[in-house]
Amino acid sequence: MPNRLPQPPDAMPLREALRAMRHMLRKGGETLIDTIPVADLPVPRLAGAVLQQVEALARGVDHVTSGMAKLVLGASAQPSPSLPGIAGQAAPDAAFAAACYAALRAVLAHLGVAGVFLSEAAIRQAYRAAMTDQADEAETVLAARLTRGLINGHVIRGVTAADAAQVPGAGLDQVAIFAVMLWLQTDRPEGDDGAALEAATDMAVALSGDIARACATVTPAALAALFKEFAPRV
Amino acid sequence: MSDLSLPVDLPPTNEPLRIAVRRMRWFKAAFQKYVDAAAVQLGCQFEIDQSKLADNFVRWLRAVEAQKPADKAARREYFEFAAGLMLRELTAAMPLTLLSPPTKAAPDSAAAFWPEGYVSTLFCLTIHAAAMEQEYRSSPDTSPAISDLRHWWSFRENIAEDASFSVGFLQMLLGNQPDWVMPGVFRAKLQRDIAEANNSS
Repeated sequence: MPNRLPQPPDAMPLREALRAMRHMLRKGGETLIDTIPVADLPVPRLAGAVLQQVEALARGVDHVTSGMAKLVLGASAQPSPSLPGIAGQAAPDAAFAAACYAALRAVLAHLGVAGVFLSEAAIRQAYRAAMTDQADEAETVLAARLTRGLINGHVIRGVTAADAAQVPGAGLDQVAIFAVMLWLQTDRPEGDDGAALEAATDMAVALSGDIARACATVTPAALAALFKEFAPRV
Repeated sequence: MSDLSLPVDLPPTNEPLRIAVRRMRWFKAAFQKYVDAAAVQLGCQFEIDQSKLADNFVRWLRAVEAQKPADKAARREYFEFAAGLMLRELTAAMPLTLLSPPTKAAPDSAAAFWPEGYVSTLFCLTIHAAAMEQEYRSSPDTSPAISDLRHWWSFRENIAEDASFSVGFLQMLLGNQPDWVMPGVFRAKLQRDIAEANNSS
């Protein structure tokens, strides 16, 4: 009998839970500070100590999250991912979710948006739902369906008004997701991953009006047309 | 190329320049590099609005694709026209802001008169020259008009009325006769369209 290595446990649900906890703690701390300035409290020193504990807890969760991810998964996302490359992997939904999560984080950072929650589980679910047996489907059409699935799956959560104001016209989620999907379709050498993702983000912001109009249509055709027009131009 | 051009190495690419320039990441890197070199040479500081630059690029890309001639014989002429369209987009929504005035430019020079417009124009001329060199092994000459401040006065004044004037201005700097009536319309394509319309009627 061949010696088979046991499948490692799927760490994603644990990661998701830890990230949710980290998000909640951070948001909770910010809300508390915004609502009740520590200096105004009857016992400011005590209140300050409590907030420091909350912050320390959040930092601890950060550490556990990244440590767990490294331990179980190794590198979280493959370099230079592409849609055909992801589809050829053993667990394409997990590979897509890891790549999309990391890219979305980078896109949001480039847009100056911090503190939103990204659901890797929802990304994975959207990928599974978008996959069909249509082998001859154009990559741009698959990307368009995935884009719609990610938007409708609310993979970006907790967007504040200040976050939304970073992007004119279309919603922040539409632009950020479009940027990632555009990037995934772009030919690029491995060393160009970061520059290409920044360029895709800038391009998506410049196209925010077109993206909003395309997202408002019933079929994925308009989004697919935008991908066809701009993926070779990133 | 004019002696006013800057000795700037454009970013490396494995693609032909005519392809690379239509990629946002190369275009942005080239513009950044050129502006940095220009700032050193002119003794001034610029700030680039990356969001405006992305808008410029997307609008230019669409304008270039919309008028692209099917006739390969018109390709060379179209290179020059595309450079003019690039200048049109840059001057219509200028991505450069001057943070400190030039200290190394002659007071009566175009660089001192309008540093942002001057650098944008020379950037377009540089890209055009590099593409022409690569595709046709030819280095386009610039007209002496580039040193005449009156042309720059006229350029700046006219683009406030119609940004397409930039296309004609660039053609003039390259020593060609611009179509001042419709500078933003590619002449060869227009002539072909008119001829086709006449043939079908």
